[in-house]
Formats: sequence, structure tokens, C-alpha cells
Amino acid sequence: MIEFPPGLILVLGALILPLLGRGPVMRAFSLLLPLATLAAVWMVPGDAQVTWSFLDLELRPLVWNAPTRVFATIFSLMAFGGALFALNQPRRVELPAAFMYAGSAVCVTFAGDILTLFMFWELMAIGSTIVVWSGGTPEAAKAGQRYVAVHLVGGVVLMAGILAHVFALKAGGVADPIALRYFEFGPNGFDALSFAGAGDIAPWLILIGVLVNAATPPLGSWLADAYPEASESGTVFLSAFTTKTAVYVLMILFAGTELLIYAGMLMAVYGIVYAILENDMRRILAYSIVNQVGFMVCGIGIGTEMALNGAAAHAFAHIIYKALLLMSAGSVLYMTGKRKCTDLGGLYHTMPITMWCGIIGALAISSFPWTSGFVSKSMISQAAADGHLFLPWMVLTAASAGVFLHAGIKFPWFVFFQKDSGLRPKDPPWNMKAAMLLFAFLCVALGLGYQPLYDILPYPATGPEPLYEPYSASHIVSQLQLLLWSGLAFFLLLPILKRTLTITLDFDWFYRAFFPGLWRRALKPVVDLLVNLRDLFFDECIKVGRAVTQADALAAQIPIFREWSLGSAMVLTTFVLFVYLIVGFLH
Amino acid sequence: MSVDPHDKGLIAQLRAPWASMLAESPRAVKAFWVASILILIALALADVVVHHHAHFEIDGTPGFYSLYGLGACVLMVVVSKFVVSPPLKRKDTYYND
Repeated sequence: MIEFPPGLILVLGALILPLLGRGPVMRAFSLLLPLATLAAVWMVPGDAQVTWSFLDLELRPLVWNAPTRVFATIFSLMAFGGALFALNQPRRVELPAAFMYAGSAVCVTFAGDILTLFMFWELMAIGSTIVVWSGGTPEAAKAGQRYVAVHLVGGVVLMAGILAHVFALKAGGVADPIALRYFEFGPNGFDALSFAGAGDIAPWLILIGVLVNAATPPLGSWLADAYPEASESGTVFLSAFTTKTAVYVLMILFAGTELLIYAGMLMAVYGIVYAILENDMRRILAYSIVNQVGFMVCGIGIGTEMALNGAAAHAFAHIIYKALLLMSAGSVLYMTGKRKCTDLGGLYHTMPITMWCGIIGALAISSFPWTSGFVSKSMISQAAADGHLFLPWMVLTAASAGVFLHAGIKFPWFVFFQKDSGLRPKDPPWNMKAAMLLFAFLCVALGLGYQPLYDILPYPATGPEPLYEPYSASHIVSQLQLLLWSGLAFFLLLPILKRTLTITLDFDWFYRAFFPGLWRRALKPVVDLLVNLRDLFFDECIKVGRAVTQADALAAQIPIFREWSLGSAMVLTTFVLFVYLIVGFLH
Repeated sequence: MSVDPHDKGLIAQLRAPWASMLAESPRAVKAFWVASILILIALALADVVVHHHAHFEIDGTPGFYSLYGLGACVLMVVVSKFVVSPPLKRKDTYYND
């Protein structure tokens, strides 16, 4: 019996991993840890309840929430696939950081109180930032800085919301204000989301904090900024955990919140538009993460059992095929050193396994029949149709067609076909091929044998009726029509889809160009002017002093105005705070 | 455009000779287009035989998914390219300069 959070196997294992060097022991260990985590997830008894005392709080790091099993399972499985793909990578800190990141994600899914959830949420931010930094390039260093800044701000907003709510609960006499059930705002308990309502600000802050991690525009430009700057293997890990943990938390806290339907629709369309305009192959796939998470967020907003099952199933399927696509792109990058569509093309000549695995991932993300995307995403559309939500249904259907356009065809076409780039790289080393083949197998296996996935969804079938029947003739025909006709659109529009050496500005422009520019062009000149005025003023003082005393040599040395270094100011501040603390304790 | 002669069997098969063929032969491209369009029309016509359980009025119309998929994609590409891109497009060295 497992009586501790299974994610800790990865988190603590991550600390041991660097001690094992780079040899076969470390490699074996890196494959074993995720498998042990996966086994542990399945060995946690159904009625598990563990409490840890922390200060005067009761933390519950091990409980089963409705979507825990499906998310914890896929997170562990993903850690294994990622570790296999990363087996030959030489960077020392990347894998331990990725394991801390993955393990924390598993821990979030078992959290029974908001503080445990928050602590592992923040640990994820730290682990993932190190993964970005492990890219090792100057661009990765800068992107990692922006990434961690955004996530720490998001974390502060989330914590502010949590504290506001905890104090409100405490004031209301609730004995256990950190229990997760008090944070399930859902459709009914979330009046605050109508702007006119008298509701408090806490749910808003929490929602915004979570939506930052879900990469909802305009809060989500960190994703396409940072993910493509990580290493080949780093990006594979990054694609899986942050946004899908946010999906999990939204599902727990905000299921049925109508606003999320619109947030999801926005994400789905935004991802397509930006991916269509993008040239970097991994950035195309990064935008399509936002698009896919949009489907899940929309499902959570719809909030029926069918919709939540669909969102959870889609998260499961999505993690596999998105990792597969990024493994395929990562293999191309690893073997060629090139990442722009304009530099690539014609790789089908010499990279057959990478190409076929990429195509299978592309078919799965497009929800092609007999792949994993088909049996998961359609539940969300079905829920929209069942609820007679016409606009969401139309947008999701259009977005499904757009997925085939921007990821399903565009990625394989521009990387493996189009023009001949003259590049003749081989398929990547065996471990990268093995990871791709494993995940490609899973994409097809889930599409054909979806029952094991349906059995672990948040709301499994209770009676003899099947949960959902994806393979009706009507569904297959309509989906094939939608996809193949959008394929026609791709080839008809190919002349205007041709890639150029351009990027498309996103909301990160504000903190990458606008505010720095504002400082450089408008504020800094003013500050410089003030500094000059001050210097001039004090210089004049000295001159006047000199004139008065008539002792030039002496006066020049009189320290009339001496700058304080930052160091001494900090020492003073620290000292005052320390005294304040002592006084506070004595008081 | 030749396949590496040292590789045989499954791997050589996987190298998709049809892709080479398409790249080299205009006739093959033409045949591919004709076959594709026939498949597309057949799929759209399949709606006459296959019964769709329509949730809204529009999704019961024969050929709806075909035309909607095509139309939605054309619209998204056109809007991306001619509405979103012009004001937001920059050289890809924009942030490095």
C-alpha cells in the first residue's frame, strides 16, 4: 500500500539523479523512476487519506479527486517517454529538473488542499524554468528569465486569491479553510464572475493565476516564447505538464464556469492563426498546444459530465501526440541543427521513422479516425451539441478543421516534403526512435482500444450503457469530410501559406519591446536629465564653497555629497527589519 | 532524389517512394489531384446515405462538414494572412536587434 504522494518518487529521485554521474546507472535510474511513479499511482488505495501537519495547518497531499487518476497516469507515462527520448542528451541538470517538474505535476493531482496544490504548482515553475535554461543558448537564457518572471507573477496572483479566500472563510468560521472543496467555485458558487455581482475578488485572482499557466491569451504568450528555446528533449517535457496541470486545476475549481467556454474558443482560434503565420517548426507546435488546450478549457466551461470526460480524455491523448510531434521535430533539430521551415524540407528521403512518427502524431492531433484524438476530442464537441451551444459547437468544429490545416498537414509538409532542402540527415539515435515509436503506437492503440482510457475518466460509465460511442458511421464520415476538405484548402492556399522569415508579434511584445523601449526612450532621458541637474547643482555648490573659503585644494576633498552604495542601503534595511522582528516577538 | 541504395526492405518502403514520384513527375501530381478530388466528392455524397443525427438544423444538411471545413480553413488563412499578419509581422531578428 502506498501512503505517500507518488509524485514524490520523481521529485526526490530528481535530487539523487545528479549524484549518479552520466553512466548507465543514471540512465537506468532515469527510466526506472517514472515507471515506479506510474506503478505507485496505481497502488494508492481508493480511500487513501494522508495528512501532514505544517505550522498549524493540516495538509492533505494524498487524496483522490475525480480527474486524479487519468492525469496522474498520463503525467507518469509522459515522464517515462520523455526520459527515454532524453537518454542520450548530455546536459547534466535538464533531466533532474524535468523530473522535479513532472513529479510536482503528479503531486498537484493528488493534492487535497489548496496549499499543497500551490506549493507543487510553484515547484513546477522552478523545475520548468531550469528545463528552459538547459537549452544552453543566450536566447534560452533570456526566454527563461521572461518565463520565470511571468510564472512567478502568476503565482503571486494565485496566492493572493487563495489568501483572500482563506481569510474570508476563516472570518466565516470555517474550521478547515484550506480544504480544496471550499475552492470549487464551479457554475453556482461563482457569482463573482458576473462583473455586476457583489462577489469578492478571490475567485477572479485564482482564475487569472490558473489561466496564466493554461496559456490563455493575453496571459499565455510565455508559451510560444519559451518552449521552442529549450533543448530538443527539454521541449518535449515542457509541452506536457504546465498547461495540462492548469487544465486539471480548472476542472477541479471552475467546472461549468461559462467564461471558460469563451476563453477556450479564443484559445482554439488564436493557436491556429498564429501557427499559420509561424516559420519555426517547434513554435508552430507550441501555438498548437494553446489551440488544443482551448478545446479542453471550452469543455470545462461547458461543465457537463460528457464535457469534463472529454476534456480529461483529450488531455491524456494530447500529451502523447504532442510529445510525439515535438519528438519528431526535436529529432529533426537534433540531426540538422535547423528549426525554420524555410531551411527544411525533403527530409523524407533519409528520416523515414521520424517522418512516419510525425505523421502519426499529426493525424492524432487532427482527430483522424482510428487515432487517439478522434476518441477524445469528439466528446467535447458532443457535449456542446447536446447542450445546444450553437456558437461553441461551430467554433470548435471550425477549429477542428483548422488543426488539420496548421498542424496536421503544415508540420509534416514543410519539414519532410515541400521543396528539397538538400539536407540528408539520418534518423536519430535508437533511444529517440524508441520513444517516438512507443508514443506513435500509443496514439493508434488508444484510437482503436479506447476503453481503458474511458474507464479512468472522471465520470466513468455507471450502467451497462457505454460512456461514449465514437465510431458511428455518421461520426467517421463527418470527421473525414471536415479533415480532408480542409486538406484541400491547404493545398489550394499553398501559395499564400508559404513561409517567410518573419515572426508575428504577440502580447509578450509589451514586456519584450514596449516597456523596455518606453524606459529607454522616454523615462531614462528624464532620469538622466535629473541626474545631470543634480550633478550640476552640487558642482556649483562646490564652486561657490571654493570661492567662499578660498581653499581650493581642501574644498575639493570635502565630501559634501556622497552616494550610498546599494549594499549599505540593504544592510540598513535588513537591520531595521530584524529589529522590527525582534520587537514583534518580544511584544 | 535517389534513395540510398544501401537500405533495403521495410526502411526503404517507409521512405515513401510515392513522395519522390510526386516530386518528380507532373503526371503523378495530376493523377493524385484527380484521385483526391474524387475521394472528396465521394465523401461529401456519402451524406446522402449515412444518417446524421443533427443537433442543429445546419449539421444535418448533406455536405455540410465538407463545405464548412473548406470554408472555415479558407476564412482562417485569409484572416491570418491579410488581417492579423500585416500589422503584427516583423523580421524574425526583431527581438535580437
